[in-house]
Amino acid sequence: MTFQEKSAWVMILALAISGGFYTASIYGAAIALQDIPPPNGIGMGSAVVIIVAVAIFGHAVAAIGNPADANAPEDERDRLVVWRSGNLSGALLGVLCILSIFAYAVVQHGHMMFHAIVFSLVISQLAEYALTIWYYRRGV
Amino acid sequence: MAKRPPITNRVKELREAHEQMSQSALAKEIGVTRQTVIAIEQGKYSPSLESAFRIARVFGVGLEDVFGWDGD
Repeated sequence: MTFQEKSAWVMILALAISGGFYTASIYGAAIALQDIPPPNGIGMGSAVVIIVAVAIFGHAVAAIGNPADANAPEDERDRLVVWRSGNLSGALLGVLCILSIFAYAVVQHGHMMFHAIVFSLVISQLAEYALTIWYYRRGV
Repeated sequence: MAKRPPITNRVKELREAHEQMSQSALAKEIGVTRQTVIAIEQGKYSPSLESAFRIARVFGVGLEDVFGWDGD
């Protein structure tokens, strides 16, 4: 397994944990308010701290396991995988943002649009890492 | 499932015939990672033209002695 593939697994884990934490905080606030809650700065800040902490720890563990791979520069296959997965996830982000805008036009709720775009970012990033793993495993 | 490229190769065969050259040694010679050499041998990745020429030069053979076309 390449270091880039291990890195993608680490980031999926980090995003899943922080995304789950943020979703839970938003859901809890929605239940308490009986409405779509406003953006939660503390919740978002905590989610970012979780991503950074898990990413640093996970990458350190992956690098200790195989330092040579971790220090190796990207080659042509790595660049192609990054380009293809980034291209598709970027298109997905665009589609999800447009859907968020349409949803805002229907619901007319700014808080909903904010959360929809945050989740669009998370989903597109998850898709990028999943595609990276897919291309490394199945071929590119 | 990702579509396999219609390109065959004899990289593994040539590497083994070349004094059992390791995948790491070949990777270093052509400037890619060992995982990329593995992917080429498994037919999961078609190298760039530059890398294909580098592989052929390492083994001292022509490009078509290493790579073949297996499509329509």
